[in-house]
Amino acid sequence: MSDQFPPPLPPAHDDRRTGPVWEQPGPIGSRFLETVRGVLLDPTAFYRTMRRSAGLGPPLTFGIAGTLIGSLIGALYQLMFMSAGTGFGDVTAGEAAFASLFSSGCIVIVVPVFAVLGMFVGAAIYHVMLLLLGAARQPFETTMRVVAYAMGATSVLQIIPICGSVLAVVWSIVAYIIGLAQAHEIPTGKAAAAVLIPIAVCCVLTALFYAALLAVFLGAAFGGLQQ
Amino acid sequence: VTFEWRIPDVREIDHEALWSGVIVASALSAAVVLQLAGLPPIGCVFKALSGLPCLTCGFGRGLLSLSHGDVLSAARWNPLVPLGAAAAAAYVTYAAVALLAGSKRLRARVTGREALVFRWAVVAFCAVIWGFLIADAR
Repeated sequence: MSDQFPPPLPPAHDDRRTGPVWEQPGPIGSRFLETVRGVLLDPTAFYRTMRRSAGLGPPLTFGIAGTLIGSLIGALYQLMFMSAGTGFGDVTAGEAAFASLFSSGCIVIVVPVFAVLGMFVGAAIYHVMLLLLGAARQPFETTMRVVAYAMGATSVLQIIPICGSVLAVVWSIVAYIIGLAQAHEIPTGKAAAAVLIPIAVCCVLTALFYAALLAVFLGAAFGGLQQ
Repeated sequence: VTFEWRIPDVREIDHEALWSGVIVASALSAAVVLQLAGLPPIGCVFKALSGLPCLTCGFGRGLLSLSHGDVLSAARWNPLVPLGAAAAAAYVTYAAVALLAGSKRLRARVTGREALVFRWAVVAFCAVIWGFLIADAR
């Protein structure tokens, strides 16, 4: 273990890491899909070849694009369930605010703002956990890149009806663990601890997870009753 | 611990610009959300399962108290709220001064042993806060 904290910056260029397809030239649609496919289907290879310090712009734009696509489709499903399941007559104040937000098109502005804040705050929490565990072998930028690509790609899973949001939460945790392990080149156990300890301690994400699960079951139950 | 006032490496992120922006944007977003929709109706799973508060229980209600200027009530809900707010305000002030003053930034350098002490201090601090929340029957 190094006796210096924080550790010195890594070399500026690593030949083994050529970056995700998103950061290469080419048509934007195919670059996006190829990057999503890489994170979801082969995260180990994706993060093993991801550049660790090539700026925050490309991962941030990918994260925003993925989150926006996922949120818009997820919001559309939620709106459909709300109208089919409970009707607009007895919606809660939060649901009414959400429906109003969606209908006014503000979601296109609100989602990217919250996505960027979520990525920075999430990455900061994971990086602090890595520091506390003595496993932060790379600077904050590397952690931020891992989180942005994982969040952007897994948000797209919300296009799957009913269980998409739950799948996105579960797979994002998996992607964070694999990504931090590969990008920081640390044991998977330490990466898992860095991701899971905040969830266990803060329980906010756990609560959100169970709330999403409950919403899915209630939505399915209301949907079944309507039929 | 060695503090130094230096120009960061060109490859380093400008943490002062980044985190002061994130803090200000988060505070504004939280204010708008609290104003429009109030506290989200999310219960604590840990408390539901164990009967004990978690480390962040009362955070939302503490933020609400703090937004009304009631620091004591905020501290009672969760001491992390006023402490975190004070730390955030101090950091934003420092960052604003540093950004206006030029390209030099304050950086701390600690040895591995000091980092270890710091880690355990953070764990002990969290344990004290958690102990308070449990003792105060949150």
